[in-house]
Amino acid sequence: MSTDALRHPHPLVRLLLVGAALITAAVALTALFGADARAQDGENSPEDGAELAEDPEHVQRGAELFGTHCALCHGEEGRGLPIEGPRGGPSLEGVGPASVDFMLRTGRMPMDNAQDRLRRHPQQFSDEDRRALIAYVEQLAPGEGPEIPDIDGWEDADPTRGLELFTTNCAACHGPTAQGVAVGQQDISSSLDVTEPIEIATAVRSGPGVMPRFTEETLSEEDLQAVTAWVMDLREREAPGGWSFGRSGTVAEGLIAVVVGLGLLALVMYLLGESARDEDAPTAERPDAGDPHGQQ
Amino acid sequence: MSSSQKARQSPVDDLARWLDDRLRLAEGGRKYLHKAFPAHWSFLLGEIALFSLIVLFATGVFLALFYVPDHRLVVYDGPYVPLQGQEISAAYESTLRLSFEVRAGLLMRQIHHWAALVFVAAIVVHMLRVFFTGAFRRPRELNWVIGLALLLLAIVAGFTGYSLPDDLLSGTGLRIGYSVLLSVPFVGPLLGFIGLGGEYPGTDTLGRLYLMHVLIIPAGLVGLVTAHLVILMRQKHTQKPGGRARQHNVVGEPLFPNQVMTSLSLFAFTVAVLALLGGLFEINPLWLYGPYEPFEVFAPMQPDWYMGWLEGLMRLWPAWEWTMFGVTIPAIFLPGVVVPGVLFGLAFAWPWIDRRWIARDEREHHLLVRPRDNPLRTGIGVAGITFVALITLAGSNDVIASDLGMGLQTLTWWLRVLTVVLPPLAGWVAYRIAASLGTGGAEDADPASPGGDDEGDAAAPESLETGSDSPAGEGAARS
Repeated sequence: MSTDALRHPHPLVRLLLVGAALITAAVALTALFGADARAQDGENSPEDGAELAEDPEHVQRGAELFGTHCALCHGEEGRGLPIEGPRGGPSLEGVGPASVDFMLRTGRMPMDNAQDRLRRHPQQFSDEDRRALIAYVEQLAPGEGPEIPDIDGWEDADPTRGLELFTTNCAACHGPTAQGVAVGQQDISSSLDVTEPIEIATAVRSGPGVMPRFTEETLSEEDLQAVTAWVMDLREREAPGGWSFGRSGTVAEGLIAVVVGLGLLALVMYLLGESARDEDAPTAERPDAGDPHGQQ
Repeated sequence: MSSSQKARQSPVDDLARWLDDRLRLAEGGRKYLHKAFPAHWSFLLGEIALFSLIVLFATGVFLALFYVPDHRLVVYDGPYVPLQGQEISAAYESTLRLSFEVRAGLLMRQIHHWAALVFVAAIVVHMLRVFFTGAFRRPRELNWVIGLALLLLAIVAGFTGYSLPDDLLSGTGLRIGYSVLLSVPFVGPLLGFIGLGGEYPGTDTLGRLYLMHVLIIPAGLVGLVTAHLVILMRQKHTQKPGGRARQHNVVGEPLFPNQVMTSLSLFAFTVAVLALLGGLFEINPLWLYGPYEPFEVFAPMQPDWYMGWLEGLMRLWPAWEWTMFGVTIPAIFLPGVVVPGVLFGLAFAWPWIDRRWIARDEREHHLLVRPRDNPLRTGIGVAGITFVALITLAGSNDVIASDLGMGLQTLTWWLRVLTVVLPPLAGWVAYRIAASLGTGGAEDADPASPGGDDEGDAAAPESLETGSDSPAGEGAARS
């Protein structure tokens, strides 16, 4: 290829370059803002922590598991280790079945370092072992914490009511599209893109991390189902306006406008300007600098 | 060929003759049609802004057919299920109707919004081109000032525009804007009262914003764009040095047919790209945000990108509040009013700052310089860009913090330090690079022409005409 060919690429080459630039931009934007699409399937049978806590078999199994996996940080009998550092876990007395269920089901527990941020992981226990742990923790202080809510029938709940409740109670931290965002030095509100309905419900009731606890007095069972229905609806809702790049809002929109919009136009401009360049371009005289009667 | 002379002319010829008889079009036509336009691609940036503005007017008229600037509450019963039965404002309802029921309404809304984002972006890049090549120097100070006024108007147009739908995002933005107005000592409440028609949220806000957005600001934009272009025509383009370009001539493509074709293509492409964005990319899905309620808010909440620097300033600024002589200066006053005012003030005054302290040069300039030719100006420009980029980033500090897995406060402190440290550093680096590249004598070779007659006479006037016998080029009448 001669240098001339490099300077004036074939139209097809140009087209390919434009295409490549577009695809790169699209991939980059998806990587930056795209939704995390690892959906998880899991059964969400309603459970009852109080009942489990009265079952000695479950409690026994739970005690064993607790000793192996939890006691290192949460201490003997779940009383917690009031120390700084990677082994300082909080007391679990009275956290309630909803909290235990949420933490274990979403793989937030067990964690390696108590100073880390709570993060979603695959569940580390079998469903039966999880129930055992719920039973054990619940019998430490029976009935003091929130119970696992029964959200059976959330599919039929009213998403309109859910949207209203979500905007009032949840969007302040999770965002209107439930994408999650930094809400403090340590805390990033979770994206609800892969959350199971039961996880939404247990989180609302137990208030993990800095999230407030919504009791039945502030949010009835019916309201909870409506919120669940809206979050699930929001996730499935198609974007009528086109590619929604993970619904990540104004920041992504600005980037697209500058990168894709102005970027494409700059490319067009460059090609137009270049092709119009002509060393033999005609010249005109400029009127005198100080002459107020110059033409035009 | 007497037969062809007698042959009936086409209706177009008839019309042209008829018009020429009355308006004497041919007289000026040749002059204007042969006006020289610079061929370099960077001169087309301003045209993109202009064409985006045309798209904005066209789509805006369409939107105005359906939008209702009314706060009165109605019960929504449109096709968007999650909001059915909710009491929302007529404005929000009309925007939803526009999005879901009006044919091509959503497309128009999205093109309008994308066009606004691209419009301001094109203005900014155009301005940077003008800055770094010294195109603002005498005699073009006036157009620099007008251009900046256009940028200001474009930003206000954007803000008043995206505040109209009365959804939770736009309403919260208005709440911030109202607070900034209120923070001005002494006159703040009055400004807020005039701007938004009473306390916000009130019943007159949308009406006032609408009036500003569809009448006052567009009128200002049209007026200033016209002035911008008329002055450009009168002063003619600057041009890159090199080739046959001199201080006293204008080298370029004739307006017709070359530049007309270039501009028409660019116009078509601008429309195409904006339609592409509007058709393929979702923007501002306000049906997800719900109606504005003063007690609600959500995060992350950012304004459109061109307001990001203001948002960032307010997020970065420490919460300093003073009471002096019984007047409280709210924390938001400095970052919301004073600092932006100083920034724009400096930008407006730049041509005079530049000639007094930077270039120390009062001569007329029609030839551009390369950024390296004036290291000091380039350094200051780079420092300015760095500063504005950093405060724009700070406007989305929560989004960045979660993307990087960084503590929000840590990031904010970093940004505070960086906004102080990095701009001078970046400016100094740019200065050193520019200085080390050297001018190559370009600045010296740029002949000033306070009395450029001798220069002009020395150079053989070249005519723009290609097939004409009269030397009626641009500058033919000059001597």
